[in-house]
Amino acid sequence: MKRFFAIALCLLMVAALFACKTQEQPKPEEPQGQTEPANEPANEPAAEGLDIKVGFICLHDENSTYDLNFINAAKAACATLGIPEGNYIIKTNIPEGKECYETAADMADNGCKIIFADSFGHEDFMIQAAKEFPDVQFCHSTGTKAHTENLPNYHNAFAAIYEGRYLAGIAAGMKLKEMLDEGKITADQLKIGYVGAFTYAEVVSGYTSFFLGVKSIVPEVTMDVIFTGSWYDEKAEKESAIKLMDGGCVLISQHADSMGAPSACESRGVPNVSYNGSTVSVGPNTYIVSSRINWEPYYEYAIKATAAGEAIPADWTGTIDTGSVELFPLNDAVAAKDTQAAIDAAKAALAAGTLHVFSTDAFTVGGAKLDSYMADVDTDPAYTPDTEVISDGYFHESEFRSAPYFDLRIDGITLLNESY
Amino acid sequence: MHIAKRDNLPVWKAWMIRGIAIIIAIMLCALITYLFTKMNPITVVDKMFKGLFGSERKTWKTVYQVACLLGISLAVTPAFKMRFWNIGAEGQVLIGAFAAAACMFYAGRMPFFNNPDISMGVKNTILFPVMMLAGMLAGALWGFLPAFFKSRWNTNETLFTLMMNYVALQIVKFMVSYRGFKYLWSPNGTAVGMINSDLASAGIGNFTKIGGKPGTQYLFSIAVIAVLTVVLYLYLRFSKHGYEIAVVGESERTASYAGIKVNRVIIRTMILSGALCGLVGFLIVGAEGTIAANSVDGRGYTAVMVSWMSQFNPIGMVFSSLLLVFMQFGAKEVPMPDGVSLDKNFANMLMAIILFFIIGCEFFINYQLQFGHHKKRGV
Repeated sequence: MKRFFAIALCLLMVAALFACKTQEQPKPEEPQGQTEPANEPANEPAAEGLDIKVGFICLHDENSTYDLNFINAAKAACATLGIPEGNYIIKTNIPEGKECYETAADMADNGCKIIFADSFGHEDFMIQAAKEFPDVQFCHSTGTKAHTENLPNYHNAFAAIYEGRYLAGIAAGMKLKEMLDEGKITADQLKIGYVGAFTYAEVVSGYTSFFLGVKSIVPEVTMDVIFTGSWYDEKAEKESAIKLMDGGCVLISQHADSMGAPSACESRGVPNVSYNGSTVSVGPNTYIVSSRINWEPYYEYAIKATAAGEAIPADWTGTIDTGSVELFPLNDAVAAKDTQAAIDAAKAALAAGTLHVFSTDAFTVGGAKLDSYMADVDTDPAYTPDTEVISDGYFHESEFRSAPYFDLRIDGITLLNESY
Repeated sequence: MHIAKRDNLPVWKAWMIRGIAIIIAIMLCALITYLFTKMNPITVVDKMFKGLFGSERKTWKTVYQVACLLGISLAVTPAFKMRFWNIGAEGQVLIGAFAAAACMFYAGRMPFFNNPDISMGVKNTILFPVMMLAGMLAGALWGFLPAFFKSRWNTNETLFTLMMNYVALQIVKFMVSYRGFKYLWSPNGTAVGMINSDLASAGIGNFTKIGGKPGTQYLFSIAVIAVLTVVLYLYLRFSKHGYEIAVVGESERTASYAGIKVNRVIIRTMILSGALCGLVGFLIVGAEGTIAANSVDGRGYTAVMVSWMSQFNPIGMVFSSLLLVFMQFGAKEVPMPDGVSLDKNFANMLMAIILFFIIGCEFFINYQLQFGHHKKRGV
């Protein structure tokens, strides 16, 4: 009896498994979401979608604010251009290694005409793929080698994010001014802190422009910087922020992707300026504002150009005008009064060309004003300076190539460690 | 219910059990994939096929992936057949790859280590044998150490080989990191990205494409491993060494009584095993043109499973490797409803399911479940 029961039970389980299988069979008639864009959110339905296949390569997945920013832009660009879901491929968790080349080559084999990658370390592998597939366009965000590599189908892109940082710095400066006026701090306590990832030019350019933005409101300010040696290390970022606050910093900003610094600030009630995404969820009482690069304009531009058979420049730099440099809405609970007006004024001046973030009047190096600086624009391992970047009274950032190259250590900023 | 050992299960029955296990595993994979992609399983399999064999280049790549996994599985087999619990293939392959890559970097930059001018480099015809030898020696050393300690002081080989993996991994991680790289290898590559892009594009120390056809750079590695499969099959099946290995695996005591020098067999076999791992390391470096900390990417561990689930039969390993590579790499070609493809974490999950079922089913081959056998009262 028992044996019979056991066999019956087994049969039942097998049947259940098959039942699951058969449930799968009738599905094909349902919309697969694969070929039919019917359930697409109501994006302006492009009259006729572009007939092109596109590939996107991401270092991590949506858990990283950095990659999320790219993935959202990729989806939005494809929706705007009317590219149905089956015609674009997004691949996540592609390390900065041979997998990047393999993935790019696979995408090209799958018929993609343009392929994007989002991480700095993907560059060599994108170049490798670009050499192998001359008919496919390869676009690499944050890279530095396109203008020296001379491949017609390999391109770099970045945005003038230093302008966004500068505007965010203004918001921070307004906050400091308010704290001063309210007597919460005294003039000799005007020190802010910055948690950076690496000592790369991208980070240096970011914290310097932020600092100059702050300084444009409160000229006496100084800044301490700590590097964590990682783009995403919640613990290290948190500890660095706490160390900075212990060292007397009354406002913190960061260039790293985790919630470490914002949450540390929230726990101490110290104002925070974010990057890449709004962190208001973890810092409702301390988050002021955040700047970010919006990649959608570039994606739309590059895909459209490829579909039309037009050439894409080796370097493309997004600006406030193209919609590539964005500021998230201010957190009115924390931001000082009139901050928006101050930001708008600076934004207009930047757009008009009357204001330059890296104006040589705004900073000194070793106590002296600069009138000449050779920057390392053409990538080489020895960081050989090769291009004069100061003229007309300002440092021309992101003009000779899209990725930042401002790597000056200006007065007023103290680097507490420089090991990365 | 109780469990009893079964002794002589007919071969066809054993294979039926394995067949059922594979079918259930694949059905479970299909179900999970369906839950995530909401796609008809037939479409999924079709996409996997297209992803793996959709073009000439992809086919080459897929065969190469099978060859790599197969090569490492072959390499660990002699040790496991001897019941020497060698889980150090990951480290042995990696250190072999590293030694081969080091030769490549140095030879490409003769006469001194960080010479930016690569025109003085050694010719590939000389370089390849040197790289191969270096890789095999390094792998052999990584295999020899645990075997030597085991035979001398009876240390635990599982822990020893595991630790050697970490040693190899950390060495490679440091050597390809920013500082390790900058000061040791090359002023002309960057630590981020491909560390030796100048050598790779000059074709120094890596297998170049035949007639410029994409994917053909993998041919050499595939061919070597194909030969290795046959050779190892013959070695284990027909040679005296192979017989000794089998006897030691059955029982060390029996082997001693039969006059086999057990310690010598252990050390010899581990050197062989390590050297073969190192050879695969060289083949990886040659085919991919560079080295990274994830060059082996866990295949050293997967290979242990492949070896076991094929009952140490090299021909069986060909099919096991193919099945695993198909699931692992094929899954990455399947998009989810929002356009984002399934990633390697998902692929590894599928692979784990298959391994679990295939290795788990050996239980039902070696044992049988008896339901209420000894109490007939209930009927």
